[in-house]
Amino acid sequence: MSDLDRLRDAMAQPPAQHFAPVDVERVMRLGGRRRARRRLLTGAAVLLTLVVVAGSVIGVQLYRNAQASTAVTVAAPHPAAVGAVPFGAVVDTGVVDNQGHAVLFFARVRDTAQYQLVLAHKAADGKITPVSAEDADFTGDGFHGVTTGHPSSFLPLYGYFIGSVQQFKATYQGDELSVLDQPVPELNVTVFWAAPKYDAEDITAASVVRLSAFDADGNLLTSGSGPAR
Amino acid sequence: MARGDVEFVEFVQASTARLQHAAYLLTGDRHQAEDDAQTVLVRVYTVWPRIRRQDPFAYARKVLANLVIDRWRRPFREDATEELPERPAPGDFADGVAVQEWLMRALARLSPRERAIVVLRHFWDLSEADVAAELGVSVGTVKSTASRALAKIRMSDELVERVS
Repeated sequence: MSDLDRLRDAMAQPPAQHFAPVDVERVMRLGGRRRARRRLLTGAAVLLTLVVVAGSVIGVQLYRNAQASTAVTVAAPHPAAVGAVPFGAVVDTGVVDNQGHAVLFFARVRDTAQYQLVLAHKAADGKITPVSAEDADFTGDGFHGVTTGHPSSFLPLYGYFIGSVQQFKATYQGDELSVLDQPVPELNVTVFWAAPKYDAEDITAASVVRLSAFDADGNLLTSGSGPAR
Repeated sequence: MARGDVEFVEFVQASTARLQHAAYLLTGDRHQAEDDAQTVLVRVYTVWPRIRRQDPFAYARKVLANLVIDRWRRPFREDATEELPERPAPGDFADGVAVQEWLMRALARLSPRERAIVVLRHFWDLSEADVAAELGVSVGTVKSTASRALAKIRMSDELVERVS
């Protein structure tokens, strides 16, 4: 018999010792307690993770909300010259009133190098009727031509932004407005407007709104964020 | 009693003797072996809903091996007791008892890890790969440790024979 066989043989023999029987009830009681404790700890860990994740999300949101926005005094709309010809895209704001769809576009001022941002109504037959026009200035980054469409349209607020923007935010008297936007690649600007809202119905010339613009990473755009109408 | 608990009781009845035997081979102490077997069963019951459809015996074996190794990793602690440990009666050298004594002496010469590998390999009859998986070490470590352990047992035997 080899050493290994001898070892295996000895191990296979029942031990000379007699062992006390296991108290199954005690085992199950202790195991049950241990299981309950582990479940409690697992639940607490999951809850803690959820709280941390939710806290982070809320924290980021609060941080973004706390970032400085720009207070802009809304300009009074100026009557537009009849026959303004759109330059670049005609942006349909999706806001409809009795006159038709509120649209925004840039138009070149006749015999000059100047442009204007025009608010117009587009009828069902495609006819565009200018309502108001603001002189456009493309010399600096930030918000420009912030104007109200009231009272000649339901559009509470519109304007354009120069810079690499991904998202806008606007608040009026503490209420957040839903801001939509569309780039105008021909002029390398982004037209934005606020959707009609009950709380924004009283926006008029001289109302103060707070505007913020964010890049694709969610960072606040600060350069040249002052109005330059 | 829930169905899972009934199954656990059946598992305890089927596995206790072998677990206690293995624990005794690993520790060399009857009381310690009884305590360890019970601790293993408590831990098995803790995760019973998860493992009952897998291989609860393998889980118990793994817990036992690691329990013994972990205890030896901790700082040495000795509990005072008024009771003297049991000693075999002198002159009682019936064959079975003599073999058991030889075995316990041989195992006592090994380190806890060597002992665990020898028990898993030659008592539980696991392959080297299975032993490696259960202890979380490489197959090479199992091979070298088992070889060293057997050499220790062999050398000691030669020494005993020479002295006697």
